Amino acid sequence: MSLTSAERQLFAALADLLIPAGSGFPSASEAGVANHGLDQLLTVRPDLLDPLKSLLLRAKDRSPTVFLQELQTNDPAAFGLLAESVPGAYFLNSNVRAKLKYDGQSARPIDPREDYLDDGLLQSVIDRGPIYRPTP
Amino acid sequence: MTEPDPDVLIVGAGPTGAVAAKRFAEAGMRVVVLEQGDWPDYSKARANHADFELTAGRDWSANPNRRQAPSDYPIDDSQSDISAVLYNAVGGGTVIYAAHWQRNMPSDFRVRTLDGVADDWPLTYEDLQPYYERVESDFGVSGLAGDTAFPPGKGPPLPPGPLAPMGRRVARAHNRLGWHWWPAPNAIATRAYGPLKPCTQRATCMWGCVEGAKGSVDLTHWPQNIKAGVRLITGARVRRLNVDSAGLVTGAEYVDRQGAPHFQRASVTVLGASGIGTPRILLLSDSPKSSNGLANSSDLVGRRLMMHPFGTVVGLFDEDMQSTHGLWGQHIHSLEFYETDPARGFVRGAKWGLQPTGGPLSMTRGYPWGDNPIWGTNFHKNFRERFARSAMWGIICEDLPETENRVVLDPVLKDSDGIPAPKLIYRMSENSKRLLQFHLGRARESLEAAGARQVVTAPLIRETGWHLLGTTVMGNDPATSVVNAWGQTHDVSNLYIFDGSIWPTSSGMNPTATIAALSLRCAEHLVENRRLQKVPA
Repeated sequence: MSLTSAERQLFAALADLLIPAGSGFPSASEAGVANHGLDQLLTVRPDLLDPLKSLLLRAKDRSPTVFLQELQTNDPAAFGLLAESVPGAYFLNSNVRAKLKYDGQSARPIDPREDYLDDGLLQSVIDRGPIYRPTP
Repeated sequence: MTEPDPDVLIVGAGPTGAVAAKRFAEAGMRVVVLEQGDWPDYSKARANHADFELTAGRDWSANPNRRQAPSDYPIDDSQSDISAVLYNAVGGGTVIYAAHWQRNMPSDFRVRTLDGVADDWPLTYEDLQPYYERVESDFGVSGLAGDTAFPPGKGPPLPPGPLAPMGRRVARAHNRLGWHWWPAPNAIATRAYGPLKPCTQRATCMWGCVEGAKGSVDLTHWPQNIKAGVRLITGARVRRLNVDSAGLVTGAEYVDRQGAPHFQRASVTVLGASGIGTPRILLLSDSPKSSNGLANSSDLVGRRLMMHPFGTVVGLFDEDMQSTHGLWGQHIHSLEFYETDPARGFVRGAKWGLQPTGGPLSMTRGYPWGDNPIWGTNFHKNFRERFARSAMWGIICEDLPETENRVVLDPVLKDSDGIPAPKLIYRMSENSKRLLQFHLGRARESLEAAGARQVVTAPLIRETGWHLLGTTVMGNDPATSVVNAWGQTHDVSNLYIFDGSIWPTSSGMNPTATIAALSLRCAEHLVENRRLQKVPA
């Protein structure tokens, strides 16, 4: 089971309200969140499919703007589902990640330089002396 | 040929059991360990995949009620201000902990004497100091000796992680304010160390360390313990301890993953099943002679639950803080407001740890950002202000013991083996509330002094009960405590408890350092006195 094209269109409309285009970044739909983004999302989070289908059924024939406002006010759990799914799919987009200069939680080996010694930073703490209460 | 009964049975393969089993095995004792979980499955650790942020919360959730793995038991937290989080596996809580390695301070052991509240511990910082040093070597702790918040002594074996831009900025601010900070201690290898590989700063420590750099005892202890002859039985859920006519514990009844019952005999039994699991087992082990549970003549088993109310304050900066990455973990810590100042209107204090804020999806979530809007027209502007430009103080508040905050057996809820589940009854005290509000305010000042353009105080969330302490209190008087200073129960001389349950007060520190040191101290005492130990016939 997957999402129908009508459901995807509705998801795109809601997603663009959360993440419109701006600051040189594409909108959610321009980034493909309702297409391959959603497919990628549901591949790793298949548990989200049924809740999303239920949510989109509720949104059918409603104004996306009004529906989203109602969710935000009255149904934080359902809004939370969208608020996880939309950026979740958006930030899987490789172009978006490239524009952010974000290469994931990549490995960045520790620089062995002792940066706590910069500018006598630590000496200031040492000079203030002990701050603990000793064992009476 | 029948195998001889083990000298020691340990329940729980978390840090308590790992440290104790190591010491017992070194002393040549026969050791069996029962663990209801399995080995952690690091194939589910996806820090090196694009979907990490989407899958981490599902596969590495710290809340057993959410995780619902076969190894988990449910916890009724409907009457608790805080939900308990724990991990049932070889490694226990260290599999998912942030590895903040904080010793307690001397005053933590003398709360009654110094502050007139709660109880003193039947030991001092100085008693525990050599054990801290030994376990820090075993866990591959990184940090720097000479912290002015602690008495002088040997430091951890590995150098500290970098301060990083966020740490340097806040450190300078604290120097201007005259406030304490120090390169933070972490059980995270900053260089290759024994079985640990060097950390690569993915900031994913709590959701499956793909590098094998975190000092979790499934890496630092269990493979070596097994080589040393310790027998570790996984998928073994203890449902009660049995006692003979002489009042000595004979061993544990447990259920395997297929539901089959077993009995493991032993000369001595040690519980290390957490501040919830340990009292649960004792309460389940009732008998005609002890109808309110085993080792419970004081009626204190399950009582005095402490869970460390937790606060978070985030600063947003104009410059790149590189805060998608780092040690999670902590880069610096501050104990400036740890000690009691009566003028503040409460007693005791809190430890602060400065952490990164993570990847892009973490910038959009309700925690730690609360109701601060991100969606809609200004999404990209709001997002860029947070992403890689933020740093957060995590605040561990000391929680004082109260007998009405407790773990009981749920009258209805049961685990998958039909064993009554634990229920938490816990209300945050007025002292804790005041303490938390004070520290949130000072942490805001810290980040403002560091130049934050905006400071966000995170909403309090329920799922922060990482530190489960106090439910089988340690003391010298059998009328007011469950175990003595060596973890031996007053009522049953061959039954011991070594885990965080025995803490008389909670300190305001992440507890694993002290849990490990205390377990080693208790284990060593048992080894040294084993010839005097009464055992069942």
